[in-house]
Amino acid sequence: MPFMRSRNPFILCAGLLLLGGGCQRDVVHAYRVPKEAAPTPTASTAGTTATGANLAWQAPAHWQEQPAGGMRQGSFTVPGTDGATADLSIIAFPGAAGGLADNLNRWRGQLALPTLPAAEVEAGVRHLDTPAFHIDFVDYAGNADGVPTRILGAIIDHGGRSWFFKLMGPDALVAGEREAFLAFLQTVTAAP
Amino acid sequence: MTWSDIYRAFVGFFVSLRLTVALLALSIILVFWATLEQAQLGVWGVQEKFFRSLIVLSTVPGTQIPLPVFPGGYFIGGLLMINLIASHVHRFKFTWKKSGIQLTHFGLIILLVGELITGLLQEDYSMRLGEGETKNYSESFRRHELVIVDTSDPDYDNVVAIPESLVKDGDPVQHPQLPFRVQFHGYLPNSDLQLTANLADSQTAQTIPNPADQGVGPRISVIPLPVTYRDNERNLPTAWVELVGADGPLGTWLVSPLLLAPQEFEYAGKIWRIGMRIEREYKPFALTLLELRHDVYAGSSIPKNFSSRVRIETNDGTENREALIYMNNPLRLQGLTFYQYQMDSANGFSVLQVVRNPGRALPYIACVLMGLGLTIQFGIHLVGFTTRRRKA
Repeated sequence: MPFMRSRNPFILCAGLLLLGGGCQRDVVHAYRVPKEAAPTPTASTAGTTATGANLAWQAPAHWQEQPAGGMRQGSFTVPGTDGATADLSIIAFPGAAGGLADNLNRWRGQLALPTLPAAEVEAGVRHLDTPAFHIDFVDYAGNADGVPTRILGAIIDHGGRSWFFKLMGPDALVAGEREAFLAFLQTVTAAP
Repeated sequence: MTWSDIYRAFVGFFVSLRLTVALLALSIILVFWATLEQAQLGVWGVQEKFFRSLIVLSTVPGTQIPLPVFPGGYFIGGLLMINLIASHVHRFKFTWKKSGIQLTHFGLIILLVGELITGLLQEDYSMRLGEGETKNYSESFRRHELVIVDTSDPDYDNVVAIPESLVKDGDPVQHPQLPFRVQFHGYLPNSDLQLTANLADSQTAQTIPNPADQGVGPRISVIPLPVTYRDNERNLPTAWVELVGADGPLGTWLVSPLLLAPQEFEYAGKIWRIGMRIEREYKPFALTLLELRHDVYAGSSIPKNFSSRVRIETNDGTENREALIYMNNPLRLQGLTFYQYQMDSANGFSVLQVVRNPGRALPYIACVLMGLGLTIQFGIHLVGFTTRRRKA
C-alpha cells in the first residue's frame, strides 16, 4: 500500500519543513537615526506650575514641589498640621498600563483592601470631566502598615499614555486635601 | 529496495488522495481546537500558536519544557499544497473538459501561497501621532526591543536594537558597534514596576529579587504578571542587562518599556543610553499630523467620520505633499498602507495602522480564478447535459 510504504518520505519531509522553520530567527539591527529631542527633563523650575512630558498642571500654593525623577513626571509633598505629610506622585505609563481594574486593585492592595472583580472595582470609579480631559477618580481609605491611610487617585489617558496622579498619606490629612486635589485636577491640561 | 522503488513510494505518497483526506481531517481538528483555545489566547495568540507555526507546542504541566503535540497550520497547509501540486504534475493531462477543475485548483494553490506570504512577510505596525507631531517610525503592536544608543555624534544617534526574543533566549550578544558585551540576567514577559519607597507591605511578597545596580533600577521593585493574550492589552516585559567591557563588568541595568526614558551612562568617553521600548521600524519618510477630525451626526454623539490630515516628506526630498486618511480611504505609500485605526480627538492624537502585505492581492486573484474555474466546470456539464437531453 503506497501510503504505508511511504513513511520514510513523510519523515524526511517533516524534517525539511522543521529545518526551514528553524532558520527564521530575529537578528540584532544597527542603524543611525537623526537625533531625537532629548528626554524632557521632568523637574520644573521652582513655583507652582509644572510640566511633565506633555501635561501641565497648577498646584495649590501650600504643596511643596519635589524634584521628579525615575518614573515620576511630577512629585509633591503635601504637609499636614502635625508634621505629617502626604505624597503626590504623577507617573505616566504607555498604553493602558495593564488596564484600569488592575491598576485600581494595585492601589487597593497598597491600602490592604481586598482585590475586587473588574466590574465591581470599575463601578466604584467617579468620572470627572474637566475642560481638558475625562478623568477617572477614586477615593480609597484603608490601612498601610497598620496606619489608617487614604489614596486619592486620578487616571488620565493622554498622548497614548496613562497618567496616574496619586495622593497617598495619613487618612485625615488626605481627606482634608480632597477639595484641593479635585481643584488641582481641574488645572491639568495638555502641555503646549 | 531499489532507487526507483523509493522514488515511486515518494511520488505515491505525495500524490495520494489519502494524504489529502488525512490532511483535511487534521485541519478540521486544528481549526476546532484553535476555536476552543481562542477563549483563553485571543485571536492573535491562536494565530501564532496554531496556524502560523509548523508544530503546535504545549508545555509539560508545571514546567517550561515544550512538547510537540500536533502539526501546525504551516505544516498542514504546506503538505496540502505539495500534495495538490504533485498530483497535478503527476496526473496532468490538459483537456477542455477538465479545464474548470484545473483552474479551480490553481486558484486554491494561489490562496495557500498567499496565506504563506502574508504569514511570513506581513508587517503590522502602528503610528501614534499627536496633532503637530512628526514621526519617521512606526511601532509594533506587541514586540519590544532592547536598544543601546551611542549619542556621541552631534546630529545622529547610533542605535543597536536587540529584539525581545533574543533577550528572552538569554544568549550573550557581542555586536561590532558596541565596545561591551551584553549579558542577560533574567527576563519577565509581563511585569509591573513600583518604586520601592511606595511599596505596601502586602505587595512585598509579590516582588522578585532585583539584581540591578545601575541607573534607576535599584530603586524599583518588580512584580511578575501573567502573560496576557487579550487583544486590547499589552505585555510589558522587564529584563536585567549586564554590560561587560574590556576591563570587566560595567554593572547591571533594569530595563522595561514601563520606564519611559532610557537610562544614561558614560563609557569609553561616550554618553550611552540603554532602554527597552516598543519595537520601532524606521521609514525613509516622515509623517506630520496636521489635523484630526472626529465628526458626529448633527445633534448626536454618533461618530460619522474619523480623519487625519497628514503631511508626507520623504528623506530624499522627492515627495512633499498632504494626504487625508479616513475610514476606507487609507494612504498607500512605498508598499505600506496607512489605515485610520484609533482616534482620541479630546486629547489630540490619532493612531494609524501601518501594514505591509506583499500578498494582499493574492486572495482576490485566487477567488476570481476559483469562481471562474467552477463556472467553466459547471458550464461544461450544463451544456453537455442539455445537449444530451435535446438529443434524447
